[in-house]
Amino acid sequence: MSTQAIGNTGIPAGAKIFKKPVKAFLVQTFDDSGLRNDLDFSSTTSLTKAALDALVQNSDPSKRWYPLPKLYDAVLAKGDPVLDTAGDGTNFFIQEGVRTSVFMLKQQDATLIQSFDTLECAGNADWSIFFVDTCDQVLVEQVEAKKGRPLQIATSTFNAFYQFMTDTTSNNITVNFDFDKFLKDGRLKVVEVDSDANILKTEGLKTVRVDYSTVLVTVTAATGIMTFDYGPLGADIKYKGAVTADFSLDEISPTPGVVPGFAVAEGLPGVYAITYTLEAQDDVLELTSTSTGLAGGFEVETNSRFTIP
Amino acid sequence: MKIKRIDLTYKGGSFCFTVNETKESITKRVEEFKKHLDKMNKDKVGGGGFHFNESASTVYKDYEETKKKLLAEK
Repeated sequence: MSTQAIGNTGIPAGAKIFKKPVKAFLVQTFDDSGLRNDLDFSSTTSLTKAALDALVQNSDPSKRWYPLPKLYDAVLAKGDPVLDTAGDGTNFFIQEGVRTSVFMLKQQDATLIQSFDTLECAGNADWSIFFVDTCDQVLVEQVEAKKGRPLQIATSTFNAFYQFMTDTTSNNITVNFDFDKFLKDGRLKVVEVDSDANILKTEGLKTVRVDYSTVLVTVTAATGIMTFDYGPLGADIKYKGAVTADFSLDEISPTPGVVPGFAVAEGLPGVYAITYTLEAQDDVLELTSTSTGLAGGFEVETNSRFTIP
Repeated sequence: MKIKRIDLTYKGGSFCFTVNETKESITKRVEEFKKHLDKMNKDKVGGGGFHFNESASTVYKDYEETKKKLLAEK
């Protein structure tokens, strides 16, 4: 290739085009160990259901994919390029414009906005996003061979706000952000997803909060009310039907380790009695979700701890 | 993969056991569990409404069978 030539422009049959974005997954750009949360295709050619489930239900929040509800009116528009216009009208190209993203999550509870707080706080972890189109294709940026990188969100640009219902429009959460300046359009690729993964219907984990304060904790048992953040004020929706397989019970201090055996019973909906072997005064115990609980779609909040009185 | 725990679920209650339980330890756990639920119902803790009627011998039998099955699978 001569130094003046561009790349060849012939396109083989079978090239893939990313269609209309209708789904998105938020993910930290780097996990807590500093590794990128890229999709690795060195030993596979599509995203399987098992792989997708493992990403959405990952017990490590820094590696987890966070699916958003269906996107409406998504526009991933690129701004005008920056040009230097000389006095005679000649334009000199300086740099590409910024690509922005705007979409709506229709008919959602405003509480969902709380989940985005980390993204809105400048200086917090870098976040990225995988968009999915109407044909189950995931949009990635290929920077390294056989690795699909989520599209990085520019720091301090993410914001989400609630729009009330009007006479002609439904309520929605509008989400805006800019893409990172270094996103290269020419590196955009699609990843195919196995049809049985049903990626467009994928839901995120639901956070379960445990309130031990209003009832009873003893050396052999605790009673907790488990609820979600959603529902009418004072009547949060209850987490019903949980069993021991959904939970792990651990001693946090003074001797960290698994509490070897415990039992769980649900009385009134969402009210759980948890019994365990004798614990000492001031021991701190913590209930967390097992992989079974996560696979069921629920995660007990971090710091769901109680102290033996 | 090593089995670390055995979970058994019944109507009204579920148990997480270690792999080293004995008939005596399971019987004690089940009976204490029932006693605790009875007390909670009596005192109306959390509103009461706890109902667990499985016998300790049934739980022990299920534990042994489940453990055997899990060990055979590994």
